[in-house]
Amino acid sequence: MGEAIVITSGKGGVGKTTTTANIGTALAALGKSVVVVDGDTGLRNLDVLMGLENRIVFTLMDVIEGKCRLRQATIKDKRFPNLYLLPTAQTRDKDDISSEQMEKLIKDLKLEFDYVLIDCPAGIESGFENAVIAADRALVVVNPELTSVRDADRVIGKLDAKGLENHQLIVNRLNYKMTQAGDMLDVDDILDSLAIELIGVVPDDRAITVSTNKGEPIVLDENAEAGQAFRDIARRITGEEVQFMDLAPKETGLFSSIKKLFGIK
Amino acid sequence: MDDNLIIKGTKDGINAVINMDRFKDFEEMMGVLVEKLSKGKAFYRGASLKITTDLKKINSRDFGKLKEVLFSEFDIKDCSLEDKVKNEEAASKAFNGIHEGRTKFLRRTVRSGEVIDYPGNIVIVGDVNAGSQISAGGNIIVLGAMRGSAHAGNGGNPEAIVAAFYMQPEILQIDNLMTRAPEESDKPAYPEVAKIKEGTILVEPYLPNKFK
Repeated sequence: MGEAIVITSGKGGVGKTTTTANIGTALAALGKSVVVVDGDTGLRNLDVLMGLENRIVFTLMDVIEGKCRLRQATIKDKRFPNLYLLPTAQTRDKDDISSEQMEKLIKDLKLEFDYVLIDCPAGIESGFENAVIAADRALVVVNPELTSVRDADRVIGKLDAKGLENHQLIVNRLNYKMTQAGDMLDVDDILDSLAIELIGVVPDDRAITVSTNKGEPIVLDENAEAGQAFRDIARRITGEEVQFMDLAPKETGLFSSIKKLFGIK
Repeated sequence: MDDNLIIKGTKDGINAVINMDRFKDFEEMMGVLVEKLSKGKAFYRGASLKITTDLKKINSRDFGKLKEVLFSEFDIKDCSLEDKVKNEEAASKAFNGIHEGRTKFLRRTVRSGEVIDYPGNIVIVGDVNAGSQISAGGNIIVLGAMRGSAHAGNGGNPEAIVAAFYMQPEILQIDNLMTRAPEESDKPAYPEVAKIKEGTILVEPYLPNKFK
């Protein structure tokens, strides 16, 4: 029996879908069988990030309504044979799915895959309820902004109320320079107010935009820092202990070597 | 199950306590009331009936209809209305266990959107985050940061206090006084206590003499 993990945030635009696609891909690269499920009915995006939008024939909605079998709706990834996408319908809306239907669907998926990643829509309405209902674990994505932290707090409260207490935090889009200058919340500030376990920090990376538009998750880029961060998170999900990476920009040159010599930061 | 509509005898006559929230509409409630009264039709004849309910949910036309039915079908002598909400407010006196009394203990973070309402004292071993509301009949003590809104002594007790390790509430209320945190203020690193002094809410260090 696999594990169902929901990726949620409350606020929109913080990188839930990007996180889902990347962690899914990274877990598949570790040899796990993975399905990423798009929970954002009516505003689906996960297929685009995975580069699989042209292959959608059936959706999660068709499975629920009995129009096709689960196997027919899951789309195999271009790169990993053990990675699948279950897209959702674009022409329907979130209220067309009931919690019971979603619960059954996720249970069925857990029988076939090691990891079922559910991309939760923004908000705390029915789409959120459905995405969370059958999850065993939640990853809460926040940006280092007060608005995002506020909404994450609300969502964590909701998760606790539902008994989903296995949750960890991903801080996404951290700009190291700005936090050093005190212009952006740093990870400690965020952890101080949310008081939950941290599973990863993803640096702000312009390469993400490129990867989104190309439909190639950034974890596939060996050199990207953000890709490394997502790969580390995937390993932590499997239970491995991975040290948090140092986000300070690597200084090279004579001056910094001298500073290092004297132990000055 | 049947606490939606309770009929009881009092020394002034018969009293029907109706919880309008449990019914779809007035018609449904009336159906249930008539059905209940039908069981002891003879008994209710000539009696006077007092209906206790949330008056905001009943309009005079509906009440007129009800009266008509009661008078014609059950021969009820007199029928009057009483507001349940007011009744409850009068019943809940100020909490007097500020120095020693019943207390709710919470050992977790209270998060945005949560509402904690308790007629006694509240102690929170954790943080109270922005966007949450804590309302206590007595004191509110937070062993952590108080960033939500707090209302102590809400049954009308001006002696209640709010104390926190880190006091940055959105709104602070004690009894019927209310205040906001000043916009530009330094944030002391020591615990603080808010209480009413000479008609205003005063926030001071937990041991005033220690920081003189």
